[in-house]
Amino acid sequence: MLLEFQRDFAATIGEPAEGAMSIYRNTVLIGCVDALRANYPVVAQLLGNEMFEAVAVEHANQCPPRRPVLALYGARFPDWLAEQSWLHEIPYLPHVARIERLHIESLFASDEDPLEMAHVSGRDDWQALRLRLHPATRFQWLTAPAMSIWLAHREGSEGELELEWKAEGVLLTRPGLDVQPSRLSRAGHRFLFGIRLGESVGAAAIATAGLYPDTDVGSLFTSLVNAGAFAASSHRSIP
Amino acid sequence: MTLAAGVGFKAEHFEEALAAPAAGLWFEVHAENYMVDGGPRLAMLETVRSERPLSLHGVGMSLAGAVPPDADHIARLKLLVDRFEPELVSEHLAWSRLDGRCFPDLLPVPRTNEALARLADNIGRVQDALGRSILIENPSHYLALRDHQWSETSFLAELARRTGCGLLIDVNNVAVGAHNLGYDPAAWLETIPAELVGEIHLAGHSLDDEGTLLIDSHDAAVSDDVWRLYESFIDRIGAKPTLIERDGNLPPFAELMAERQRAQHVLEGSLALAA
Repeated sequence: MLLEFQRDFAATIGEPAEGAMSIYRNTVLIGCVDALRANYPVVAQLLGNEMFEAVAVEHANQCPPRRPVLALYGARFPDWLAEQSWLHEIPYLPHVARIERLHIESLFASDEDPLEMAHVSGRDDWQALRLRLHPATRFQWLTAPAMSIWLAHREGSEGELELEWKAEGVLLTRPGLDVQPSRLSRAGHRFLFGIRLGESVGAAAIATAGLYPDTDVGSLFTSLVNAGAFAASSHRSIP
Repeated sequence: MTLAAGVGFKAEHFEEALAAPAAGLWFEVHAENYMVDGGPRLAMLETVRSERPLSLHGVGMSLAGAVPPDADHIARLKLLVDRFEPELVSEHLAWSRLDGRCFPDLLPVPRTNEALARLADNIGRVQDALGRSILIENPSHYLALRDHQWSETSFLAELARRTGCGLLIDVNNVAVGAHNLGYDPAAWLETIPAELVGEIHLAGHSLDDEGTLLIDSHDAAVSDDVWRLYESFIDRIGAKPTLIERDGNLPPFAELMAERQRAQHVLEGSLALAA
């Protein structure tokens, strides 16, 4: 009986309603829209408030929350945006959404001390080290200048953005309390990709240098360590 | 009573909240907002907790669901309770989860024997997992459901009797429900046993677009009607931890503290009378 009542109730608030049922329906939708706006602030800026609300309501209807933790709601939003045919006029939008999702993941990932250069410098066996990415490290290669767009809107810059249409890499790390965004080179992406797959530092460095011979892999490694990309505890696990 | 009057904590007020000198001040947060693995939000709550007592108020356990609460959700609540050692832990007499979908709302349930048994079992599971009793909040009402077999206050008292849970009485929810469904809020409060009340919520409400229903919107100051109901309630049941809730149209922290001070006066007046 209770289950039937709840299924009927859920079906009723799934449709436009009046009076009391509209209050329940609106509260559910506003909860989803507000959560998406909080988690995708730059997408909301790019679409404008009215358009974003319409898009968010549509998404909430098709992909409602599966967990009550709305701080993490919207995992499917970037892929869903990529499937919307009307959005093909804004081809960078799903890529910007992907960065925003990575940002949420980085922001709420587990706490752990990052690896510091002092942990590894001066070691003879550094090439054999197998590092683990810090829990808050997120990186991706995007086939649009989404990182430039995201950074510009995050910093609240006004006016036209001068953009060159090119692929860009994003790296998000959390060396302290806050998420730190950086641009990631192709070489940096290859190196981190190798580490994530379990390659040793030496193997990832050789592969990276082979593909991108102009890159100074030593200073690339230093900059990734300084950004907090790796977990401190990982440098002890020497194979 | 260990807690006096408290305020719902908002990140926007972090620095002022920490600096507030008020004696007896405590804070409440929605548990779900902190059910993440790590990062600055949890670090902020750690700082708040190091300065003030805390209450964890859950909004997503779906205790009135037709099935047992989600085990992962209980585990996440337990992590927070173990880490932050809150003075109070509360949840709602409502459901918000069905067939794998979550509704960010507190949905109503007919007060039947079946719902009572289900709620008692669900509350028992949560209390067993946490190793402590929790408080259950009365919902706001917008819709006159058929099929009730229990009055609301006797239903709440019976839940407390069966599970050992306490009650969180939201006076604004009583006022909203009384307006929308047409009952006497003072008479409703009159039938709540004093010894079951572990916490009180005070919040503001607003009229819906059609101008007929009151909405428990938490976006305005506590109304005069709700203050009067609260004063009479405390006069009868004695001082109880009381929270000023505000979620929308967030005012400066000082405005919330002024409301909090008003509640504190009511509580201190009651203690003075009892002395």
